[in-house]
Amino acid sequence: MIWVVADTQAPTEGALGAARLLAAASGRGAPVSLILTGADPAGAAKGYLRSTGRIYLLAHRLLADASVDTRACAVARFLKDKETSFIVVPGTPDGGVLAPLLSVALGLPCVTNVTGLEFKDGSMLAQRPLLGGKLTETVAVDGRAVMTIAPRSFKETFDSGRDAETTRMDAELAQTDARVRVSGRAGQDHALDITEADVIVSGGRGMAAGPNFKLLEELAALTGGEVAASRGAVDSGWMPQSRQVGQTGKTVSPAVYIACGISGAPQHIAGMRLSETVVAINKDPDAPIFREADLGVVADLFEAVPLIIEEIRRIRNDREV
Amino acid sequence: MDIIVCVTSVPDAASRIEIDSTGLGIKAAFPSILNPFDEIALEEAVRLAEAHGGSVTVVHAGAEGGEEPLRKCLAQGADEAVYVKDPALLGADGLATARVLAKAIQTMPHDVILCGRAATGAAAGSTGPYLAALLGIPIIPSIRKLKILSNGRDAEAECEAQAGGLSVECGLSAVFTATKGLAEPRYPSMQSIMKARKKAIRYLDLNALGIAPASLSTPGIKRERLSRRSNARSCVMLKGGVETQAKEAARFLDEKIGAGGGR
Repeated sequence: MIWVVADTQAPTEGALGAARLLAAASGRGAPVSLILTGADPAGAAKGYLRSTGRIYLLAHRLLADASVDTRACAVARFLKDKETSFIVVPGTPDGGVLAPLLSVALGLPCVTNVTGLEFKDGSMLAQRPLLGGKLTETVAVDGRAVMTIAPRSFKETFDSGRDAETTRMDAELAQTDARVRVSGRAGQDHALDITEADVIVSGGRGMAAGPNFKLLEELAALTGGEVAASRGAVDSGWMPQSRQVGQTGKTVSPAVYIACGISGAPQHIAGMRLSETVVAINKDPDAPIFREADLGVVADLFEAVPLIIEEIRRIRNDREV
Repeated sequence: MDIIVCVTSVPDAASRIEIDSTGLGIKAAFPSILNPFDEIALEEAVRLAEAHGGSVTVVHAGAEGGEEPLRKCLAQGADEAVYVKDPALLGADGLATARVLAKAIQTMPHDVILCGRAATGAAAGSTGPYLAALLGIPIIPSIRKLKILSNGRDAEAECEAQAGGLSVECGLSAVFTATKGLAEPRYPSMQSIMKARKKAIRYLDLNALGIAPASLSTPGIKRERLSRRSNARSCVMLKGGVETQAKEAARFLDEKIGAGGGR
């Protein structure tokens, strides 16, 4: 059996996509089951009804807005006596903690941040980026494992054509299992985490001041993207830490990354190297960011970005007419 | 209060990286640096000890090269350094390293265990969770604020979460992983660097911890190969005035983003 453990705060599509690939490769058409945790996870299951064959709702009042420590305890106990080949978890902040906890609890090896899967002569190879995407590590997995799936990998849309069979189970938890208790959630400062965004408009020290990020928000709204920032901009207090791209921030791999006024320090590149397409806007033609870009605009971003916004609007208007 | 900080070193992000002749290891052109998140963890540990009393012990496990990061930690305020040094740890994976660290920590008093959110090179972030699971104590990941309550037995923390933050409380002992914002590492003074030179690193090996080297390999997974990312970019630098460049850039973006863009 292949199990996917849904994240309570982030999309689980990538993990489900990877699990379907694993199921197809196993030949026996191993079923994929999705586990949702919560006080009453039935509502959350609605979005996944046609993504998988079977859903388990692992319910307990202690799982209402639970810490990852408590969730891991419940999931590990639920899976303890189940037949398990793979446990697939979204590579979110929570998932990255849940996976090693399950790995120790269930005695399975753990492979994190998987971006690709390859099947050859009955063996499975998992790819994961190392050193900010400079290298790719290929790990041979023999049989069973816990895996986290990098954000935006394996996202192919899928419709099973019929609703999943849903089973509600009471989680085995005692008050003492809630060792880490959540007392509040704060600052949901943006709807979509930057690691999940298809387009990122990112600003650096060249933005000169916090309010200037309004300009990037306008471009992001137009392109369906999220605004992010370099360490320099975050340390200046212009953007929250949660939007920092780079070595001490987040690693992103959007379809399009637009770097505005970012010079391109190696620590920043480490966080965005795996973006599919990179457009850089910088006054300095020798800025290292251009070495990691596909298209370079050598101009003052305060002149270039408004003109780009205007031009994109014009192109779209012309298309509609 | 007894505070343990687990540290490791990572390749410098600015360093050129080569794959070695075995195809399974790396050679970096620049010396390794103390993992930036571990440095934050250490700073928080030193501040906690300053505020609540107690001692800070840094622990590292590896085959070689551990003196450098441990010395740096001593200069930045750690009281003691423990190095589990064993040739059998060459190429040890995350779980093996965590097993060794957990065994070493079990021999010491510990109220708070801190480590970095992840090592910046591998970015797996598994060490903290592995340690917590192996020691049977709670894990509080990616903290940006930590407060030890006056009873000395409980803690409150603020964690980074998906697109926001989270406040939690727990009893000690526990494992906390540090993320940016928790504490700004200090520059060690000349005096503290000199003092650190006089502090001795305590060495342990697998034998002393009662760990059989063979028990360290994780069955079922194996590094097959390392490869360099092939699709290096070649940037098309736009020419002309800002209007011309903006037009081209807009066309390029519209094409890449397609009709799906815009909400």
